[in-house]
Amino acid sequence: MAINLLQDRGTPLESQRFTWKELVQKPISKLDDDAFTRVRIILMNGVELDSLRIKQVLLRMNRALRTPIAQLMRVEQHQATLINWLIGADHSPIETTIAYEQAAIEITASVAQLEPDTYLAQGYRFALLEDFDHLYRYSALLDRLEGKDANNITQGHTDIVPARPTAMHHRAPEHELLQPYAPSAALATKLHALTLTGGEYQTHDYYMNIGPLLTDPLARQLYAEIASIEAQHITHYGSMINPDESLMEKMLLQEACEVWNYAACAEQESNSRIKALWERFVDYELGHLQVVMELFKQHERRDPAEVLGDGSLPPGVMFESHREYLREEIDAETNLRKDGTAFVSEDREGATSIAYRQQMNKDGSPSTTVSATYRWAPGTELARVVTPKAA
Amino acid sequence: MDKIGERIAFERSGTRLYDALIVKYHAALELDPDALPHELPADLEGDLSVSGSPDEILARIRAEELAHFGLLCDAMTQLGGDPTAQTPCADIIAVASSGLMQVLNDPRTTLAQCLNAMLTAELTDNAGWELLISLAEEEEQTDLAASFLQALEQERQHLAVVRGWLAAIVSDQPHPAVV
Repeated sequence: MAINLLQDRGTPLESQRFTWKELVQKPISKLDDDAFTRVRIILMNGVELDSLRIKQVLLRMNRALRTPIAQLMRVEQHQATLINWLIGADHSPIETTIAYEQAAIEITASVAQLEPDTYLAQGYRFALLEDFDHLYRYSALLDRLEGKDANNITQGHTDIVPARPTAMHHRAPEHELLQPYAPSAALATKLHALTLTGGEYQTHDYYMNIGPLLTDPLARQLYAEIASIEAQHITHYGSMINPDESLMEKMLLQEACEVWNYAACAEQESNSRIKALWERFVDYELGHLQVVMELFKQHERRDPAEVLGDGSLPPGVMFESHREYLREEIDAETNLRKDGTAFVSEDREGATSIAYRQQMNKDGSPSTTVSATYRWAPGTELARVVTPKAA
Repeated sequence: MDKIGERIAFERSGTRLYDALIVKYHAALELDPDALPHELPADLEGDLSVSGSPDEILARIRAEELAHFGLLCDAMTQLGGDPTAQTPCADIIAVASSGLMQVLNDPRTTLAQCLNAMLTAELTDNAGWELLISLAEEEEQTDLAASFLQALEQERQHLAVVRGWLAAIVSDQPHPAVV
């Protein structure tokens, strides 16, 4: 049955409980589960962490709402834990990185096609081609450092080829911003921007944490370089969000965003145990939304329908391979650049970005070095050079 | 086939480990050319005789690791498997050996520390080939068992080289630049 954000009450907040054992469940199988199960786990961890982030800001800025915000955050902390702990420890940090980039690529490709605002859709496609190139650079690192094939993680759903070169992603901050959506924008537009901002935040934070854990100097440089670009992407997507929304309105949208994403996960999940988890969390988020809608009415004296419309959910993210779409986009838009908030051709790129990039790449480009002459091959690039029966 | 998948993964990452060891050796040479022997000990272990410059020997071992990878890919294909698949044992051996990659690629580790890590790799490698040979014999895959035995002979030499070189560096007037 279709979910209605205004009418479906979900699980009451006071009934949302966990145990430590429940928080730390058996992880998914790296080898047997579908790659999109892992993609959904990565997505929802990012969405939950961003919800916590927004609420921590609100907590510091709103005396009257401190208690309900703290109560909501307690549950969300545990939701995020349960989800993130589903990733098994047999993923090396670089393999998990491959999974993060695949999640970024396939989710953004879906969002770019769902987005009704043509300018913002362009914004999704723009950063999408950058995450796509990151997958290629990290695949080269995985191959050359660990001797592993990134396709064991992507499972053939996502191409491993270059797009807009990572060395070209470095832009001056003033050219990173986009025009925000209008207050009257479609609910879908708002949910898309929140989802991608949360996703990029998570990716950035992950790279910032694991980059220093690697010993290889080039690997450390590559994580430093791409973490910087993910920080740009947080700004890129974050600047899509209307800065004039009230904090309460942002919280309301965040809860709707969580329902919307969990619903898409539940609908498409192939692992029955994980599907049950997504369904449970759809109900938890509907319960959170109920709490926030009440607070919105009490404190803002506004009707949640002003923000959520008739309560119906826009079409959800499609967790599937977008190979053909991506190939077309790579052909068409790899050469796009930014000038202020506009997307421009290569020759019209903002001058300060070029200067900034020259400075950062002055002593060499880690992403270029790590992937020099790299071409993905099944079973790693060494498989291409071995002579059969050579031993 | 799971065990062949494991050895495919190990030989492939072993090739990368020797890439890193070669870099480490050259870095140690640059730091202090007199700290390292120009020739490896001629008779390392009983009847296993290896001679030549460390450079040549490292390049040879690296090439043999790569060739073993090719041999195993062939064997997997011959048995109807996919040599590019990550089998359960391949996944686990990668977890087990992840520390080796970290040691070899750390610019702060010494050549002796890296050889110590490679000793772990080669001991595991030798035992892995022995097991694979016995499994092939059990399955009456005599041709495979014979080709695996050739690889094991080379692996025994790799082990002897690493063990002998490590012993020479740490016990014979240890030099601070490489120990």
